[in-house]
Amino acid sequence: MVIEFNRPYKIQKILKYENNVEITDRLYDLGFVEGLEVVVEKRMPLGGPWIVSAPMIYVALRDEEFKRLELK
Amino acid sequence: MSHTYVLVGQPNCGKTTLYNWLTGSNYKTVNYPGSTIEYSIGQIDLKHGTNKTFVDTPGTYSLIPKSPDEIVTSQVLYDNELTKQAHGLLVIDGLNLERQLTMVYQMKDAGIDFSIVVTMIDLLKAQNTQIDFLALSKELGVAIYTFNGQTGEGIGKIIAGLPLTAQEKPRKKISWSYLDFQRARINAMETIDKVIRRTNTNDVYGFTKKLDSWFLGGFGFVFFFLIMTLLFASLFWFSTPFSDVIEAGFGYISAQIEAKFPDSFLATFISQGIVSSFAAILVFVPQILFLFLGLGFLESSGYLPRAAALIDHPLQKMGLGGRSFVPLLSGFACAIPALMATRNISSKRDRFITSFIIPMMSCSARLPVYGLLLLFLFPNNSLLVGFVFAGLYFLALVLGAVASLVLSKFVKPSKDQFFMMELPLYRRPRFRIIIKQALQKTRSYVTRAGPVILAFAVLLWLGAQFPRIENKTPDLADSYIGQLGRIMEPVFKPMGVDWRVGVGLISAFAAREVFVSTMAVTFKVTADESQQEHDLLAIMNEAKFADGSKIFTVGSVLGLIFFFMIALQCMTTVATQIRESGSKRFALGQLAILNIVAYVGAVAINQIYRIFFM
Repeated sequence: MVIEFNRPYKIQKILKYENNVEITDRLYDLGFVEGLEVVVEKRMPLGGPWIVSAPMIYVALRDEEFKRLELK
Repeated sequence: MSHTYVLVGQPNCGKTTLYNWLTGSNYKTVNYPGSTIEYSIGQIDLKHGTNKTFVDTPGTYSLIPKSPDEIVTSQVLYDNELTKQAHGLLVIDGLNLERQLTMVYQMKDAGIDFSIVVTMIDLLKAQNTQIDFLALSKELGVAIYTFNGQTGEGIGKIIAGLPLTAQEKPRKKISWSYLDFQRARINAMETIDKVIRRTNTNDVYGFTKKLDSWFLGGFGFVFFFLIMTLLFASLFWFSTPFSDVIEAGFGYISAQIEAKFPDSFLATFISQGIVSSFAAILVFVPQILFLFLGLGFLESSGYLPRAAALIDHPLQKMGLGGRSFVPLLSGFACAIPALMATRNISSKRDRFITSFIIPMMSCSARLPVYGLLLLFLFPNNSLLVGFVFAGLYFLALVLGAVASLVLSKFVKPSKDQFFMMELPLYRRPRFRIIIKQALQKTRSYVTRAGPVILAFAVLLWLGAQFPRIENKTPDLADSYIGQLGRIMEPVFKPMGVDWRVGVGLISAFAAREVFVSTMAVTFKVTADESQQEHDLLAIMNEAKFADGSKIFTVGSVLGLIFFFMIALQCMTTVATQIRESGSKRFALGQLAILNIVAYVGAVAINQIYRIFFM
């Protein structure tokens, strides 16, 4: 899926990551839940983290962390 | 009877600011998630009352801990005898009220007695958001207070509302599933909907996002390097005059003491043993202070977590992560606070590798050593010395990267590796707090490292004065320290140096900076501090082995530089490492590995130079 910046997406699902279950738990801690509307603000240079914002969240996520969010 | 209260909350929610207002102290308060790496205890500020103790804990996203700093908070809530029955003050960032309400449900599930303090009230007003806190309190069944960290507004009501009874029912550790999180989040959304009123909401993140389009955009790395270069350049510009004044001041005091009591051993001991050792410690204070000021400014403004996010990807290539950035950066000032800052790294593996390579970062104590050795290599060319000096910083990073890469091949990835860095709002740095905290940390450096350095330096000086021969100072070669150096000379010889330099290397295990002053003693430089380096360089140029060959060649000096870049010589760092890692084996293993690599490298450089260039 090609991600467009600065447009709202809805989190369809938060995928489990078998190699590191704590990633999913931490996403919950940060307030990411299914149905939450998020905006992908940008990606940092040289393939760095993604910046994702929601009404109460403004956070940098590594690619493997960002990929846990199934967006639509 | 004193009552205890524990401040709990998510990172960067304003806990420590509240703690500062409650206790009157100015413990660490920064605009960087995870700044409180140890919990701290403070008595209530006397102007607010007596017999109340507050405990400030590291930020935690939930009561189910995932990193060492979160474990500290969990221990305070469940295991610590002083605090496990204490009333909790759950601090919640007003801007993130809905999200952070999850903690309310967790605290209730855990059976913890607590009140809520909502912070960032000024920003809620700026956002045109109104919350009916009375209704919210009724909904949640918990007392709620509001607090403005900028003005202290609300502090009186919080203190007046503190209960004077300890919790009696036991607390239980909780374990939440995704469904629990989902349920808590829905509850929070429904609760907030009932009590919140937003009118023409201003986007408080607007300015932050605008700045981020520059700092985290296509030119993000350009800004990053400019800011870091400015930080380190200003460190030297600002600190040099202060260091010069300290050096000159102590030199003057020493000279005065010796002039007044020319033949007194006690006076010489005070002047050369004590005063000079104090000078060796204090001469670095300006640099450390300015580094803490610079870091404090970047933290408080909100840039530092962004720098960590920017550098995350390059650091991943080295087997590390962005959360290692701040500890590594602090390592350029002093390894001790840097090691303490590794607690903020959630991944065991990253924490292990970061704390292993921190001592390789060029801390301030190495500066006079590099200064002396580079001046020997490039006499009368201060510009070149400056460039090579900067190059050594870069080389330290490269060597650290190589070490990290090697270690990452041996250390298995741990399952707790994640980054997820919250980016706080850019805020105007609060200079008063930054200055107080920088002074506090600098004082902590002086009190932790100072006594070890002082004791070792005094011991060395005494070692050079005894055994007394006809009540006079012996020739250095006959002194205890000289005898030790001679015994160890076969070890130092392959590095291309003799026992006198060896004594300097041994003394550097107290603190690296002691190397220069010990060299001045072993090479019998009698000039005062200001002339010392000049005279020492002249003597180094002429110093020879018994067979007439020069001691200080390009090879041996390059070897010494390499040795100082890698070797772990600071005993205070080793002690801190034992405490932080909780493993003597790890700390002593690190001590052995780094020193063996440093020694082998120095020998190799000297031998290669001898074979190919002499």
